[in-house]
Amino acid sequence: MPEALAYIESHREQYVDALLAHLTIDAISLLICVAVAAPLGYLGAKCGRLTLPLQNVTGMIRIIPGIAIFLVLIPITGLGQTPAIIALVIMSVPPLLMSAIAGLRSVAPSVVESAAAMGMGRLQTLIEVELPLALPTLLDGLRITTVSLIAGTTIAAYVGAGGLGTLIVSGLSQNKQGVMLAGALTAAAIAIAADAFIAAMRRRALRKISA
Amino acid sequence: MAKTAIEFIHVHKTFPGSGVEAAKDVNLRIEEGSIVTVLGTSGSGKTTLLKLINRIYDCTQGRVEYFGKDVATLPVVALRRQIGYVIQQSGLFPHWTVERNIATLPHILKWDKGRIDKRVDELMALVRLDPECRMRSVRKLSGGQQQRVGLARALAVNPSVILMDEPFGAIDAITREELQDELLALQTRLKITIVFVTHSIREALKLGHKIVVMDKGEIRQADTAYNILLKPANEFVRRFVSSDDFYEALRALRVSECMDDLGRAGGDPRSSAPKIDRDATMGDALQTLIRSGQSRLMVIDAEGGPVGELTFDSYRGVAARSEKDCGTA
Ligand SMILES: Nc1ncnc2c1ncn2[C@@H]1O[C@H](COP(=O)(O)OP(=O)(O)O)[C@@H](O)[C@H]1O
Ligand SMILES: [Mg+2]
Repeated sequence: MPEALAYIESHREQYVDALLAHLTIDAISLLICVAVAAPLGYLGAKCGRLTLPLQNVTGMIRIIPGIAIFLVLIPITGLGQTPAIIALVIMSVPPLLMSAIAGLRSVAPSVVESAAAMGMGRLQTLIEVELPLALPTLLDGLRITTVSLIAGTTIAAYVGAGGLGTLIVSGLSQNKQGVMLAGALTAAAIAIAADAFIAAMRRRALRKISA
Repeated sequence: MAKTAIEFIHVHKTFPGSGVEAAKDVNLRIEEGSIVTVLGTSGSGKTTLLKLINRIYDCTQGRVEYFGKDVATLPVVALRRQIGYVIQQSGLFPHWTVERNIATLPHILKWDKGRIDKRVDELMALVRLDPECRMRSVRKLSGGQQQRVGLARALAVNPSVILMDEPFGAIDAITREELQDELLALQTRLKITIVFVTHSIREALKLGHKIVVMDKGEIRQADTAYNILLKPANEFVRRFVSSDDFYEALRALRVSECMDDLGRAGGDPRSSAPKIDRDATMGDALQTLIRSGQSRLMVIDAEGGPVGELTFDSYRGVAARSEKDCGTA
């Protein structure tokens, strides 16, 4: 710990750059994850025929270790931030997609049908009825995906994406524990904070829809 | 003759996936301002019949007309906003308060707040909901109260027709009777057209001006309670309603259906015979008759004018039929 703090003191600019790069990659990847999971999740929940195939594919991707996805992608996309983001999205999107399908399917069909019978459109029903009711489940998925992205981004340093992982990598190779810990502890702290924040949102969402 | 609100004309409905024929050559006229109950066992096609009206399903063949217009040619959203829909309590939006649920359509139609507030007040009074529960979540209400909210929600923008799919199915017997009575009173006041699905014979007979008996997608008989009970069109209907006994029949039949009509000369308003309302049930009439110690009742209309008379003979038809049932049972 003291070594980590000492490093942060002496290399403030480097540290802040790594931190910002890390957060940027996470934010971009998370946006892409949501953009992928939202339409696929809706289709998977609404078209009975797509539900099982989508669940199977995401289940399979989930089994593949993150590091393997990075290694497979390097020959195809080369090094840098873009391939890192692609790999991160692939490895982190499954929980979000699964929860989108499960969450939307958990809304009672009779409720959705009442909405339709009253002349609510599909989009209106989605926004006003289905999303609020599915929110706790959606946030469950978002929580796992977010934490997975933050952790995965530290590995992304190996493919030259930048971020807190670079501190871990260089700290390890130069045997400088302070540098390594500065990277690792900061990433862990961000993950824990994000996890706690989304968990709190989930509790709030749940209170709204159950007694 | 009253206007036709809804008419099924040679309607067939086959579900693509299963190939089940849920409606087979259905022909049915529903008069404006009447209650039609649809009675049948589970899977007989009752719900399908309802959903063909507000186009949750579309006919495979034939057509459904709404005030003379084929529903397939009407804009679906506009059609649905004129047709209230009430199902078992799960149809309410569980994340909203009572007020927000009732105001669903006014909100969609972007009424201003003052107008919505006023309408919610009216509706809550109409369906006899305690004003205290206005801001409560609908999840915290009893089943009976939830159904009141469902009815208020369906009534919000003065629909011309309300479709009800086993709305009281999950409710205890006492509350159920209460809700039925209130629905009848409300319908008499608002003169709204109601299509009411139920698998309870008693409920169908009690509520329906016309009762539609369904079986495997076909209408076996569509008639008054009197005719369904006393002149069943076929063996199926006879067996179906005979699961109820004489006392059930007395609850279902109206005095006006069983009385002897008075000729022009016959009615003397000053007659000493005890009076009974033409809309009373035969059960109530029997009590009045027995208590009075007399042999006949004078049947009067809403204005108090004599329209017929009722004697013990009037009960003979009802009893004869139920004795036959006991014999064959
Ligand atoms: N969406 C659907 N897809 C396929 N078959 C259906 C569907 N809805 C109803 N059915 C079938 O149509 C028949 C009538 O169903 P329904 O109208 O729900 O009956 P009821 O309301 O009288 O219980 C049943 O055999 C049912 O399985
Ligand atoms: Mg049904």
